[in-house]
Amino acid sequence: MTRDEALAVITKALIATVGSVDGDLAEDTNLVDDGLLDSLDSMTFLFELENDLGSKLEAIDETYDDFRVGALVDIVVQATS
Amino acid sequence: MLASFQILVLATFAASLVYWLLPAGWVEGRRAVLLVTSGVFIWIYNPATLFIAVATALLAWLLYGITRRYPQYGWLPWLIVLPLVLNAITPLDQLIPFPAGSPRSVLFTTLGTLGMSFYTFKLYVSIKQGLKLDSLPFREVLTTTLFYPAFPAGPIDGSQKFDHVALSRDPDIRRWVMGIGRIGIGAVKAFIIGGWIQTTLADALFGAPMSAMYEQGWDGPVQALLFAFVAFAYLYINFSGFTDIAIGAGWMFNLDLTENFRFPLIAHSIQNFWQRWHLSLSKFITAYMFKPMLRRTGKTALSLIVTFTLIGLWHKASLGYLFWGIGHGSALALTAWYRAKKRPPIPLPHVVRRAGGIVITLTFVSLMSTIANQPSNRVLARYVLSFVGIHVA
Repeated sequence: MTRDEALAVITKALIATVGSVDGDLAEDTNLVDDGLLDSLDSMTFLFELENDLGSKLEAIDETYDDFRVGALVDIVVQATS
Repeated sequence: MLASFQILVLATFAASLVYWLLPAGWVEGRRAVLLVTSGVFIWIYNPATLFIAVATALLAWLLYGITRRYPQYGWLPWLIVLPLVLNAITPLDQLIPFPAGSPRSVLFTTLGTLGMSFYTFKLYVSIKQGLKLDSLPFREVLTTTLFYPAFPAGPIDGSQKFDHVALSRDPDIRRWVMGIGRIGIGAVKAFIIGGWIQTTLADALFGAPMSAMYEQGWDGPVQALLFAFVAFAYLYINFSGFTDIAIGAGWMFNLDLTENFRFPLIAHSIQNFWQRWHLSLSKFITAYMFKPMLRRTGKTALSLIVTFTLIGLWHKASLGYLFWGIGHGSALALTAWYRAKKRPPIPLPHVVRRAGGIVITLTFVSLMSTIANQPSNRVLARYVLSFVGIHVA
């Protein structure tokens, strides 16, 4: 999966979690620090992301807390390569 | 109560001086200072409590070792709740034949029960962090469990807060002074403001102190609702005051305990409330209960309701806390569903919506908290019936 495709999957999971996203996601956006997700949302988001990918992301355990879009893109690209 | 508090402050003052006299390289010497001070404090409360806490820490360490050896049994760390379950059935400190009549301090009246609930979660976090780092020395588990300022009411921190790096820090006089200030703030909140709410304010509003209301009942829905606000304000002031004391004491040893509150009384939604109230518990719930349950069930609403019901019962196995868990879980599920369905916001000015959100959230959490903290099912029924104008003697 390319970085653009990974970004599209992340955006889709984000929309499934919070309903809508204003504009495009930038790689330096932090979904939690920038207020797009709260702590409970963040877990639902990760669940939606894994659902869309059809597999569990090994890099994301219970205590995963890096919600920078760039870091998530890295994980998705690595998991699908 | 204040006399016990003064002893705690003096002990922390003395222990921190001894702690800082030891060079940074003598980490285990510093740890011994923390363990001995904590051990003495808990022993004064009740030797059996100390025995149970040490035994539970040992169980956590064993569970870590077994899970590390057999990672396929990922559920094993949850066995750390076994002592807590046993304690709910029969108080463990009554099973152990330690000498009766140990000099229990008034400050620690509920220390045994509350402490066990909190250190159980701390130990679970420690096991999980240990598995992640592939290291969990028993001495760190023990320090996490016993650290006396955080023993009765948290915050819920894992062993990393008491690891080699944390204990080898240089003295920081500024933090030490700030720690004393934070303890002072906590004392004012917990003892002075809390006491004023419980007695003077309650007396002015209800004609009786808060504790007497559970006996005499409520005249009607207005008084019952007002009582909920007052009771929740007391809970917040008292709980956050004890957290301030714990965090301040941590600062005196240059240790960073997790902040637990961020002005929860101005939360504008139930989701926002859980980003402001008991943050270390909120983090625990999200990471270790909600997410694994969501992965297993695939259903957000169900996972939220089950998770919060279990958390309610963790607080206390009672009908009130069962309602509390179902109520909070359902409210969060409803909010998540509303957001995901892209429902348009109510057509009112932002400031009106925000103010309305604060009032509704505060009313909801106050009612839930008051329902949960009723001393018996009979009093709970009396409280609920007062909302429909039925006064039960």
